[in-house]
Amino acid sequence: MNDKLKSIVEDIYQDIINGRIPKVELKSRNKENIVFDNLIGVWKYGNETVKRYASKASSALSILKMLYIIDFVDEMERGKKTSTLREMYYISEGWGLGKFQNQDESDLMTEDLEVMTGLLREEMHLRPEENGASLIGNITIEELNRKGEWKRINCRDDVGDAGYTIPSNVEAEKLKFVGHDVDFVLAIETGGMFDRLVENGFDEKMRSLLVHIKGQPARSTKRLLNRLNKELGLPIVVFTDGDPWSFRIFASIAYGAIKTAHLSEILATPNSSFIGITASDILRYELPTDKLNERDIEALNAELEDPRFNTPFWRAEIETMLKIGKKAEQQALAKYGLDFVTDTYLPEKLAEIGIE
Amino acid sequence: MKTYEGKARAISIAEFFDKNKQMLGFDSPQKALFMTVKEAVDNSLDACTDAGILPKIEISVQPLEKDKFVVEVKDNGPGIPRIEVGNSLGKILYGSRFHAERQTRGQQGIGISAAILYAQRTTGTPVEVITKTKRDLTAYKMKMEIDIKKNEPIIISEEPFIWDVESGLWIKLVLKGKYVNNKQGIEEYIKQTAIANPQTYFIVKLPDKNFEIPRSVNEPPPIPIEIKPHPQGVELGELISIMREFPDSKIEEVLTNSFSRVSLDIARQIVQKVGLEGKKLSELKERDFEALYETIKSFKFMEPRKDCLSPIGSSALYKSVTVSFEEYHPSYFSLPVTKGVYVYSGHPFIIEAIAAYGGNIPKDEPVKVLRFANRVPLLYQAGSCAITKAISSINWNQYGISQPVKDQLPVGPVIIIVHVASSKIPFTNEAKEAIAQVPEIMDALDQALKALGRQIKAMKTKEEHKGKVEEKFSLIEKILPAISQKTAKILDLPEPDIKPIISKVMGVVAFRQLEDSLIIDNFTENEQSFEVHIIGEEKLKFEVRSLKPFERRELKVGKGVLSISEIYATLPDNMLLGAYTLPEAFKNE
Repeated sequence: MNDKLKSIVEDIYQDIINGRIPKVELKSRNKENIVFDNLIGVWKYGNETVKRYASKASSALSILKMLYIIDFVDEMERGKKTSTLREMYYISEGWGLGKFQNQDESDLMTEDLEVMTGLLREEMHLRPEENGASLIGNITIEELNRKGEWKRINCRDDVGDAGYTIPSNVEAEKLKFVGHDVDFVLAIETGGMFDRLVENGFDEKMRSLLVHIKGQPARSTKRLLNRLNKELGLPIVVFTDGDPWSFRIFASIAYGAIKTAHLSEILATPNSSFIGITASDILRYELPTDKLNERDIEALNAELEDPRFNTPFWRAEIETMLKIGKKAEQQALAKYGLDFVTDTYLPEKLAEIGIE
Repeated sequence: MKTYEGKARAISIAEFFDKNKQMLGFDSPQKALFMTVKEAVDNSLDACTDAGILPKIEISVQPLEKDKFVVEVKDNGPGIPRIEVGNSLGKILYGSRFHAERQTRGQQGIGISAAILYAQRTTGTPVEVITKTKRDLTAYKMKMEIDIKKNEPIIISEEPFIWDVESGLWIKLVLKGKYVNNKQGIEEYIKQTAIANPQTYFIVKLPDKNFEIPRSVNEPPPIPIEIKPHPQGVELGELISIMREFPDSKIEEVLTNSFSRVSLDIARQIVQKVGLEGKKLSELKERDFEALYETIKSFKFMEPRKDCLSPIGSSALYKSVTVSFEEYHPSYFSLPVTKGVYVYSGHPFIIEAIAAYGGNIPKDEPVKVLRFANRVPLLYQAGSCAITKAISSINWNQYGISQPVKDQLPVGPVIIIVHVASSKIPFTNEAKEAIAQVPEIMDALDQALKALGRQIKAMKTKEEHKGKVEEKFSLIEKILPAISQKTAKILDLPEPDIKPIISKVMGVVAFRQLEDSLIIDNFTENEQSFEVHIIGEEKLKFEVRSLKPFERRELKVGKGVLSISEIYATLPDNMLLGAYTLPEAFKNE
């Protein structure tokens, strides 16, 4: 059994034996305890911890539920199985008092365990539902398949037009980089734009690895971008719609999210760059737009308070967007024809950040 | 209406009601069907009560053709002597007890006749009556109509009939109606009637369901005795009609003999004051009556006798309510509250009330109110009824029940049952659907409801305590043992003893109600001695000496008392679970 998980159980056992009220200790999820580390540019947990004592029925129940998860993880480890978070939630039906009220509760407790042990949920044999996003480009990887064999795949030549699907576990134990011949990674928000770039052969034309991040990216997608950046030294360029929600997609890729503050170091890629669509693009390329609605405006104002956007670039873009009161989609670039994005827009914008 | 008298006027009564059905509640086909059942059932219950019989009433409502229904109501009452059937059922305002002051359900001589009249007018079918009295050897079956112009019964046929019962009345009506089963429907009416008449066995067949309601009380209710009207409560028309029954008598004699609480001396003073000495009644003019009436009102009389009322009774009400609301599994029932006998305008009245709290009673809806007048449920006109008004006008927030809008019903898991019994209920209309807001009655209702409110508050506190106590006990009895087992299983080690942590986790003396006992557990690390005070309608005190750690003591208290009492102990608050620290002020009481 995993030592880190085991020591949680042992501590509880020792408490009982010694007549102490059993407890678990975890990092406080209090907003004040999640701080933006300016040095490395990501969200991180502070040092504040909370102790959950079994003297309250609700805390005791959550300790019991945690024990059930640990036991379940141990069982999977021995049986060499994995389960989705949702499957675990349904399995908990049979856990009596340990049954979860809803999947949010079990997901949150899995996060608690990650925070307490520093283990990833994938290392606890738990994975999310969302299938990972896909990528296409000249990179060769090896993936450990279910038969236990390392399967070598070139993500340009061995895949169809939909690309290589990113598995939920992208740690080195499951996915290895073998070689590549690209200069940078382009992370694309929408499927329509991804398909356009694939069809136009942008991966070869610009020696790039195209990653379809499917909206707000899954953990495995962010983790893979992190590894591509850290291990292969590839710059990450993010290309999204031009609205406040897409800005947040970039922020979560670059700086991490509050919810996963304990994993920021492995999920966030602080030196990612945002290429567009920016508010200035809307003006410069005279893109077709939609009006900002009330929620958009609220979101933009909130971003002005967000430390992740506290840079001259972002302040200017957000303020411009508020001023023009407009947003635009990636595909608005089609105004100038199907090739405009690959022939003009991207090369121009990439040149601005030093990629040619 | 009561000023009408004599045959010539009675004719117009039948016609009048025929044209103004809504006054009697027959204003829509749906309401007509409801009223028909109600009037027949009220009639049966009155008859059984008068005869001291435990009622058994069979009710059947069955559709004939699209909008026609057959209503049959069969009782085990005394029956009606054959020769009386026509007059007692087929003549409007034929009230043998018209001037009597006593508590009855029926609308003296109007209710069932109105139903017969309605049936006759809508389907042309005569009413069928089967009656059997104890004295007669056989039952009789009669078909009858009402001559609307003359206000006279017409017996169409009459024949002996074999009905193997000691006595009873069986009425069958065919009428146009509409059956809708809602909160103001027949089923609800019968179920509520059963609450106020727990001595009754109901067998019910409705178009959409059949059910029975057994008796929850087996002693017949006391027979309400008849008293003469009290001079303070008499109306002018009533005075005239009573007086005219004795044209040859002296005024003071009639006053003394026909009214209660009028001595000959007072009667003479009244006559003297009006200036009618020595006159016979036949000599009086309309304005003489008016003067007499005004004078009577200016005199003080002894309060009316109060034993003419027939309340449901505390223990019967409690039993009946606990049985009737079983489906809600209420956490608590209040003790019944009785206020009165009081008097308004010469009519005695009494208020009975009881409440149920918690369980499955909806928490987010206005409290459910059941209104009764003389044991008859009131399902319509809630908004204009004295009972609803009295409930709304109380500030429920002070009893821990939320009242989002002032002067509206409070919201919470509460059912309130209120019964007003009187020799004369002041209804707002002839359909008898709501009680008028008479100041004396409003005051009494206010008192009764506040007494109920105090109990509801206690019940609410108990429920909150109960939640805390249950949570703690589930912690030590279920969750901690499960944690201990699970850790042992994961580590493959022996299961540790959790007793030491239980007293750490609890550290209190815990009080729990189990049926009629108060269970006291000492979960502290020391021996404890203390007093327990149970304070509610009653005050009880117990001494608990030398309760050792993990020791349990059981006090027999009685369920009813525990439900509505607060529990106090002479221990500090932080050592108590399910009880309060006894305030200093209570210590020497």
